[in-house]
Amino acid sequence: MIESVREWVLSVIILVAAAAFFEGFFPPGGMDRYLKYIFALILLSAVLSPVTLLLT
Amino acid sequence: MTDYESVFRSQLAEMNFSGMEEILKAADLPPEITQSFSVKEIILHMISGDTAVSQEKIFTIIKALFFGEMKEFASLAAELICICIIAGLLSSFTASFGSGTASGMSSMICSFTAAGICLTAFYQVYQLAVESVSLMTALMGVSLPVIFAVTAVSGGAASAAVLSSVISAAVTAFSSFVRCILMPAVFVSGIFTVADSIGRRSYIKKTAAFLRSAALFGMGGAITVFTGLSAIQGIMTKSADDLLMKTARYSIDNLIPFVGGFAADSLEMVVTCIRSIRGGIGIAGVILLILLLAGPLLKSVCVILIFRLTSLVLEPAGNGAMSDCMGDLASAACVLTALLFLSSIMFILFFACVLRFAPSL
Repeated sequence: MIESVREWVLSVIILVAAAAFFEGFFPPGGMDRYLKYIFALILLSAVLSPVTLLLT
Repeated sequence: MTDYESVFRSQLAEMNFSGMEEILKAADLPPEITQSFSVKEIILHMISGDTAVSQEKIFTIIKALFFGEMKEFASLAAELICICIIAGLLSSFTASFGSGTASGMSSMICSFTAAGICLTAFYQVYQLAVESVSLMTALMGVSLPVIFAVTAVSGGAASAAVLSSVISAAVTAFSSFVRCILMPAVFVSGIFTVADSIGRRSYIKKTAAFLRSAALFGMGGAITVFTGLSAIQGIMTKSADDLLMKTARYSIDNLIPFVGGFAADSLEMVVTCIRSIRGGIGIAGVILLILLLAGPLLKSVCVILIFRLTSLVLEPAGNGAMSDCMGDLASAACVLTALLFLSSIMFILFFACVLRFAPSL
C-alpha cells in the first residue's frame, strides 16, 4: 500500500518536473500549446491512476 | 510526617516510573529539563500543594528554544531569498542574454535548488511531527499500564479490565492513523506544492490543497470516533465498580467484629491515597505530553514563520510562483502542526477518560 502510494507520488513529481523542464524548450508558435496539452493529459492519467486501480 | 504522607510515600516507593522518565530523555529537549524531571517528585509536589516547575524556568526555556530555532532557520530563509532573487534577475535579463533557453535553464536550476531547500525544511517538520507522535504513543504505552494497575487497586477493577484493552487499542489505532495516513498525506501535499511551483503553469496545486483538507477532515473524524468510543466504554463499567467498592466496604464494616468500622475507614483512606497518586500519575503524564509537544511545536511555528516571511519578501522580488509556493508550504506546515497539536490533545483526552472513572466509596 505505502509502496504503491510512494510510486504514485514519485511518478506525479517526475512528470510535473519534466513538464516544467521541457516547457522551456518548446518551439514557439502553435505547436507548444499542443505539446503542453499532451503533457497535461499524461499528467492527468498519472494523477488518476490510483482511482483506476481502486475500480479494478 | 502525617499519616497520609507516610501512606503516599510507602505506596510511591513501590512504583516504577522509569519508563515514563526514559521517554523524556529520548525527546529533543534541553538537558536541564530532562535531567531534573521526576514523576515521583511531581506527585509529591502535587500532594503537598507546591508548584512542580517554576514559571520563570519554563519561560526561559521556551525563549531559548524559540530563538535558537529561529536563528537556525533564518540562514535557510536567507539562502532561499538569494536564490529566488538570482532566479528573478535571470528571467528579467532573458532578452539581454540573446538566447531565451540559456536563461530559462538557469532560472530552472535556481527553481530546483530553491525547491530542494524548501522540501528539506518541510521534511524536517514532517519528521519531527511523526517522531513526536511516536514518542507520545510510547509514553501512553508506558504510563497507561501503571494507571490501570492503580485503578484496579483503588476499586476500579471492571474499568481497568475493559478500559485497558479499549484505550490501548484506541491509542494504537489513532496513532497509526495519524502517522501512516494523515501526516504522509500532508507531506505529499507539500511535495506537490513545491513540484508545482517549478513550472510556469499550475498542474497539481488543487490536488495538494485537496490532500491538506482531506487530512484535516480525517483528523476531525478520528477524534470524534475515538473520544466517543473511550467515553462510552467507561460509562458502562462505572456501575460495576461502584457495586464492587460498596460491597467491599459493607463486608469489612459489618462482617469483621469490633474493628470492622475502623478497618473500613482505613480502607477508605488507603483508596483515597491511591486515587491521589493515580491523579498525580495522570498529571505527570500530561506534563510529559506537553514537554514532548513543546519542542516540535516551537520548531514548526518557526518554520511556518520563516516560510511566511520568505513568501512576503519574495513577492516584490518578482518571483510570484515561488512566493505562492512558500505561502502554500506554510499552510501545509500549519496543517502538520495542527495534526500534531490535535494528536497531543487526543492523548490528553485519553488520559482524562482513564482518570475520570473512579467508583464512589
